[in-house]
Amino acid sequence: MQLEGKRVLIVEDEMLVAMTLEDTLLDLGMTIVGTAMHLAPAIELARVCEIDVAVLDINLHGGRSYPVADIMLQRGIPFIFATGYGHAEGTGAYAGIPVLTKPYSPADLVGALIKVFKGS
Amino acid sequence: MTWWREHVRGEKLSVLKARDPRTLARSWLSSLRSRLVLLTLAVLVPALVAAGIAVYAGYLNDRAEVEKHLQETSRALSLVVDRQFGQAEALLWALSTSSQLLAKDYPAFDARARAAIRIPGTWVLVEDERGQVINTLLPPGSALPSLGNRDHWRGAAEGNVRISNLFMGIVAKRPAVGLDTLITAADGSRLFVSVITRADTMSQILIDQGLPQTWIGAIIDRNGTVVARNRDADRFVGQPATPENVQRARSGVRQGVWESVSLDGIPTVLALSRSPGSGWSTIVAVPQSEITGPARRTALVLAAAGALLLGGGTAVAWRVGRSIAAPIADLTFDAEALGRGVPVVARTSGMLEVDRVARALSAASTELRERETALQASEERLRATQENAPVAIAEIGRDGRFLSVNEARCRLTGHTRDELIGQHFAHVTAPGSLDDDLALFARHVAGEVDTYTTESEFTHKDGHQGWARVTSTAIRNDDGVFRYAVRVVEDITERRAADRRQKLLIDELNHRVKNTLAVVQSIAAQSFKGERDPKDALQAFQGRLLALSEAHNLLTRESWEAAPIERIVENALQPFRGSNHFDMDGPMIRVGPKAAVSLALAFHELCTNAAKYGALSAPQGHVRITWFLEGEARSVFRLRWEESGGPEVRPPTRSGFGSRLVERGLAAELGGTVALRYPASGVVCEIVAPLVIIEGR
Repeated sequence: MQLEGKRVLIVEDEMLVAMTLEDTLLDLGMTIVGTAMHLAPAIELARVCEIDVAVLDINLHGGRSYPVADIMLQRGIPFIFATGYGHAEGTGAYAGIPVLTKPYSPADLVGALIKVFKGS
Repeated sequence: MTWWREHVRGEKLSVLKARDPRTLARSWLSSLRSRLVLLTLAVLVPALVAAGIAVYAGYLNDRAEVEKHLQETSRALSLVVDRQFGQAEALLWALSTSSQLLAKDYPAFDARARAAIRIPGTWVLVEDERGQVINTLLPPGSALPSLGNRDHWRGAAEGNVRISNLFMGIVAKRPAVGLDTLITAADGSRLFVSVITRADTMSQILIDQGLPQTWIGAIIDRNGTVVARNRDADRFVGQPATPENVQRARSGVRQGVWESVSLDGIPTVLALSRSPGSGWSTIVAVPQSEITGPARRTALVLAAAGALLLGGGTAVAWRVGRSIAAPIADLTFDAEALGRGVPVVARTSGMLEVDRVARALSAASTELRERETALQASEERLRATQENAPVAIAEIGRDGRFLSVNEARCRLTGHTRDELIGQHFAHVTAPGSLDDDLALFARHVAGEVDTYTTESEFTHKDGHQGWARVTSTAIRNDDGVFRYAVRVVEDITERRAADRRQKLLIDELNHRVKNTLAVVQSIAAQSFKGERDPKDALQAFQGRLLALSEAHNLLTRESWEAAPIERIVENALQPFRGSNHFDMDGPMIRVGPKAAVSLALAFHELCTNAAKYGALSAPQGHVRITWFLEGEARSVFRLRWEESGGPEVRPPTRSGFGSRLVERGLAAELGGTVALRYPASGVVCEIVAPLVIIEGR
């Protein structure tokens, strides 16, 4: 399983959703590098940590997690967007980034992660 | 000159002179007064002319009558004269055949002759070669003159009676006329026998005829010498008649009527009749004045009357004309007033037709004024409506420029009316919307489209942008040609913003719902994880769902801004209230939505745990919840959950969802720390978090 052992950064401001996401990723055999629920810690983790992939909730307490996405792009780290908004964010620099709309099934998550690994 | 001026109103005389006579005449004729005068003349003049002709015809008739009368009278007189002669002739014949005379028995003949004369003023004369032998004028036996000559024998012939011309009688010594003849006596000598009548006897005959006083009657002999005259016989008898009459007598004119001048110098109309027997002419003349006099008088009267009629008639016509023209002229004032919209009171001029017109003008004035008022009122309403309408209304000409704008239109873009009129309607349209606006308007003008609606962006005078919804309707004339467009503009800036806000809200709502579903998904996943009994799992799941729902209810009541911490705690504890005692204390803190939900779920876990294993599982169990602010600027929130009076606490062997949620999840969510301890007396949970995150600012 290609996701096995991969280090993943979670950026999600909804506590329960973050917990379940952690469980799902752990069940996939991945390693959780960190779970950030606010922008500042998210940026910190994104800059500093060794990350293989990131799952970014676009909306963080009313703001956007784009700065984290930009750091990912800069570092060349693949990532996926998770959003409660119905529309895809795939414009401009983020074209081609997979977008998961909540609520998503674990299968969707796996699929998106594999896809993004394939792409990189 | 004044008359001209009066006629041709307001025209300078010099201008009049410059115009040609025809135009002048026409302008003169165009006046009512002139026409009435003309009418009067047209009626009077022919009448007068006819009267004149009648008078003249009458005169001619009279004259003819008179002439006829004259002629007849002269002829009659001529016959009288002839009769006179006839008598004398008869006497002559009788005497000239007397045997006594033939025998030259003068005394016997003399006596016979004297006895035979019956004509007054007449005598008989007989002459032989030597002289008079018989003269009954003288007394018998008188000495008789001898003949000077025998000239007067010339012309007389035997067996023939000759009437002599007038001569002066030798013995009578007065004018006389004789009937002569010659006879041959028995002894073969010739005798001149004459019956002589005094001329004044002839005159007397004339007088006896009873000619009218003024008439002149005369008898002239073959020489044209006046033999007898009814008037002034002494003067004129023996004198030649007037030269023309002398001429006529001598040339043997039979009869005729002429104009002449009498011997006493009176102009006359004269009739002459010549006796074929004697060759004498009888003249009857009437003074011309008698014939022409009356006619002339009539003519004069007629002329005078005519002049009076013409003058008076013209004056009357003029007057009447004025009395008609004046009311008519007054009508022009009424008409002008009508045109100006001033009320017209029907004037009475006494003239039926004019009054009718005046009444009609008055009625028309009233009607027009009413219509004017109604129209004005309607226009005012329209204008007021347009002006006060809350929507912007503008009228645009073919060139796209403002013809008129109402108040609302001025307010829309913040310009004054003066700034707008004459401007192109797209003067403040933002570049992005310009093309559409102009293209549609062009189609409007071209007649392709009657109405269109479009939305465009505009710039207000103060610089801010706005959006407008424009509905433009083309107004065309009867031929379908574009006259102007009416543009109704709605400021939809607010509406668009509201629409956008609504979209945002819906998106937000969608997001939240999605998020909440994701949370429920998580709760479900957590609740049904592991080897839990499905019934238990379901109960746990439902419990958590309800806690979430209550948290949402609370937030909804507070319009999703913030919920008081007290309410959150109460709600969470509510399902677990039994006979157990709860304790709450702490300052008022308004918790933001995210923190409120997280706290609600955390409290639910704590309660569930307490109800299963802790203070809420025993009747005497007690939970105490206290919170307060600490730290510099009181920026740290601290809350303590303390259970007591419950069964002995045994720390859990592994971390269940509840503890995980409380210790890790909540801590991460609130950006603080959560310590969950299990002292023997009862579970204690301490939450420390920055106030800003708690309040969700």
